[in-house]
Parts: sequence; C-alpha cells; structure tokens
Amino acid sequence: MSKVSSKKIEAKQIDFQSSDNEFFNIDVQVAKCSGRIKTFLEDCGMRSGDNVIVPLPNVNSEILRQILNWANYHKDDPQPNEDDRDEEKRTDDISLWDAEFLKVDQGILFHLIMAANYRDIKGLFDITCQTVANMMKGKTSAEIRETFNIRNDFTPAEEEPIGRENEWCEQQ
Amino acid sequence: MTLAKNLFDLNDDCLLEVFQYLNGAEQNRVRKLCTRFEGIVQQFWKKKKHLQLSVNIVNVNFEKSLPDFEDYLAAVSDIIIDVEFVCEVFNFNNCMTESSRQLTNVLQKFKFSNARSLSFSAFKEDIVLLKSFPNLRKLRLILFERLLSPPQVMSYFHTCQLDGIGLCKHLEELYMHPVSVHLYPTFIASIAQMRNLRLILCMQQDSKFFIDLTKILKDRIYSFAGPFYMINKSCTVNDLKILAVFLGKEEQRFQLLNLIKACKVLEVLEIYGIELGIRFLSKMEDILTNTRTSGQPLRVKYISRQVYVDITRRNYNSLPIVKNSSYMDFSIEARGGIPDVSLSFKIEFKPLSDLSE
Repeated sequence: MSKVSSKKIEAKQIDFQSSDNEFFNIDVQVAKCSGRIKTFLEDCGMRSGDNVIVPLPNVNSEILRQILNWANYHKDDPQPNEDDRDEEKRTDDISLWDAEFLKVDQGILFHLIMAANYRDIKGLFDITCQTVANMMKGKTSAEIRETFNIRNDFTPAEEEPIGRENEWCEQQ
Repeated sequence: MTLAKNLFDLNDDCLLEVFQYLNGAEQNRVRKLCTRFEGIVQQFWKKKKHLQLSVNIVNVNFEKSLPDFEDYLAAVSDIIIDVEFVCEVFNFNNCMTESSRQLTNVLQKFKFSNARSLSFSAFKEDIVLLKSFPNLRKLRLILFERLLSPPQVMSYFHTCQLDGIGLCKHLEELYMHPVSVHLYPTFIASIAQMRNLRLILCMQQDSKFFIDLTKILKDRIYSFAGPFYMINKSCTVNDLKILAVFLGKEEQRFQLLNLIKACKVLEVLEIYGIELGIRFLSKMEDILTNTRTSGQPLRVKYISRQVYVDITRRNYNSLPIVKNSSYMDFSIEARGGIPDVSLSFKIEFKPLSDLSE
C-alpha cells in the first residue's frame, strides 16, 4: 500500500477509457478498489474540477463493466489485512453475491484474474482464483486436463505414473 | 497484459494463487499435467520450511493418498528445516495403527538433510525414523509404549528395531520427556557420542536418568537447574559454575552447604523454595571464606514464590538485612524468566567437540 495517503483527493468522479474506447464515469471510491489506481490517484494529487481520464489499454469494455460492477458492490468493504496472507487458503468463503457474479464462462473468468492481478484488486483476485481452484477440486487429472484444455508436454521418459495403487487404510 | 483465453494463458503469479487453494493431493495432480505447472507447484511446495508429519495430514491434506504424500516429500525433504512428527498416540484403533506403520515406512525412504529442529512425539518403535534426520540440532523427544497393537504390527516393529546408537550425531539441544528414557535405555549410550550436545532438559524430575547422565558427562557439566534432592552422593558435579536448586526440606539447606564446599568454582547460586535463615547464611560465608579460589564473590539469589528477593535491602522473614561481603554478592541482576526448578531439570555442559580442540 502507498505511503502517500496523506495527500488530499477531492475529486469525486473519474473517467476510465477501455481498450475499445468506451468511457466509464465512476466514483473515485469505486476506482480505489484497485490498489494500482489508488496509488496513481494519490501520487498525482487530483483536485476537484480536474477532468481525469485514465486509459486502460489492457481491459476491454466487457471486462471493465464486470470489474466496475464488482467494485461498486464491494466499495464499502473493509480493507483486506496484509497479515492474513500466510493463513491456509480456504475455498468455502465466497459470498453468494460473488458466486452469482462469477457464473461466467472461463474466458471472462481468466480475463478477470489477469485484470485483478495487474490492477491489484485483491478481493476480486482472491475470489476469481478460488473459483478456478474449485473447478479443479474433485476431478481426476484427465478431467482437469479436459476442463482446461491443457496439453501434456512431458516426454514419455519424464512422465510419472498417475493413479498408482492406493494402499492406505480407508476405514477411518 | 496479454489476453487470457485459457488457464494456460494466465501468468505464473496467477496460477500460483489458484493452486494455493488446492490441497496437497490436488496440487500433485495438477503438477503432473504439464512441465509449466510442475515448476509452479514445486516452487510453491519449496517455499515452506516447516513440515508437519502425521496420519492426519495424509488423511486431510492428501486425501489419504500416500503416493501423493510421497511425491510431496520427494520435492521438499531436502528443503525443510523444522519438522513436527505427531503420532496419534491417544487416538488410535487398529486401522490408525496400520496407517501410522505405513507412514513410518514411507518416511524411512527419505532423508531430511536440512532439518535442524524436530519435535518427535511417537511410539518408541518409531525412533527408527530419527535416521531420516541426520543433521538435527534440536530434538524434542516424547516416546510412548505401544500396549494395544495387533500382533502382526508388533512383529513388524520387532524386526525394524534400532539400537539408537549413532543417531542425531550433530545434536546440540535435547528436550526429553522422562517416559522416553525408560523406553529407550540405549539412547543414553548414543548421547555419549553426540559431540556437539550441550544442553539436556528433562520435563520431569528423574533422578535415575540424571545419575546416568552424570556418569557419561562427568566433569563437563557446568550448570544444573532442578530439585536439589537429585544431586545425591552418586553424582559428581563438582565443576558446576551455575546452580539453581529447589529446596523442599529444611535439612537440604545443610546438604547444599556441603555441595557448595565441593564446588570451588561456583559463580552463581539460585535458591528456590525454603526460607534461608541467618544460620545458613553465616555458615555459607564461613565455607566460602575457606574454599573460594577465584577471588570473586559468589553471586547468590534467593527466589521466593517466583520473585527474586533482594535480601540486602529488605528485611525478609525476621532475617536481618544481609550485607554483601567479599565472598557473597546478593545484588539482584535483571535476567530472563525464572525457571521451574521444582519439576523439571536442565543441565548444560561443555560439548565434546570444544574439549578436543
């Protein structure tokens, strides 16, 4: 997080420009869901009346609309605590709203992950990654390979046997 | 940022984040999908320096799949620094016993060559596993007797018994539960071969173990903290520099004076428990006058109810205020916590490796 938060930000609205040249006029509060944009706004010390347009050449309007939708819903969430990062990852703490929001096809999900990672939107990054992980859970290697269309590039010599006999005592 | 259409298009940071939400077995499944995933999962596994080994971990984190757990160990065994081995000794049935035998079997295949610290709580037969930790510096050992195992398991353990000698050659500190000692008498012999060992803490008063140790360590022991009764006539600890004792009975005060007479190089004396009395103090002064060789006064501390008492400043239990003399120094120095010398004992000694240099 930035150390320059003492600078006053008085502007209430800013404009985002997507890669396909669509403009989105949004609350600064919503824009600050992105750690990267928050830092950017604080660093340039915007004043009221400034007409700021932030071009986002990596995000198309479809993805940007999704992200802003998410950010708008979560704008009042408490800031995530950096100290919590080392805790064991859990996969059952996606809220109902988020789960509904993430019912999108794989392509959009991956776009959201990349955008959330690049723009440092921690909350969105966590739930999107978690959602992809959930799509792998309970699947065999073959099923995961098929779901995500992953090509096997191991040479036959490198390849480890899959599905060895499991002799572990089962009735516990 | 490139456009991501496929899982494979995500960058390594994102994939790492995704894989972190998977359990060990799932991570291992993903690892075998392609070379790139293999690298990312390995990188993630190798970040961890602490490892917990138990049947429960295999059950929960590896979906009861020993092969997956083995793959994981193969990747991390030479990275891990700190290990905790917990055998579910209080919660087992035949199946649990069988699982822990399988786990022991698997662990024997690995060498945790970088592991420096191990907390080992298990059945005595599992001590064979210490072979997998050749470079330990600190060992916390709690062994239990296996009383209710099925015969086939017992016979398995009889064939893999190890005499305990030659284990943990580089050990520096040993923390033991007293049960461990009686279950594994030959471990005492291996203590004699640990050239860097310099501290033993036994979590309970155990005078037989202490006598055995004094026979092995002889004049190397320079610090003792524990109940006074443990230092009986069969232990020679005349080279003590630091002595912290719990006195439980009045007559022990005068036995303590005899020990002070024998320990001519004693530098620090801490007395816990019983009140000291003016007669004790004047006798101690006499003894010190006649035996001290160093020219330095003995630093004496009296600890009443877990508090250091400055008897040079406070009139304590009708004891006249005591003056420092050229042989006794009662001034309190700030130091760390007060050890529990009534239940456990701790000895520190010069490591063999220092002596031979």
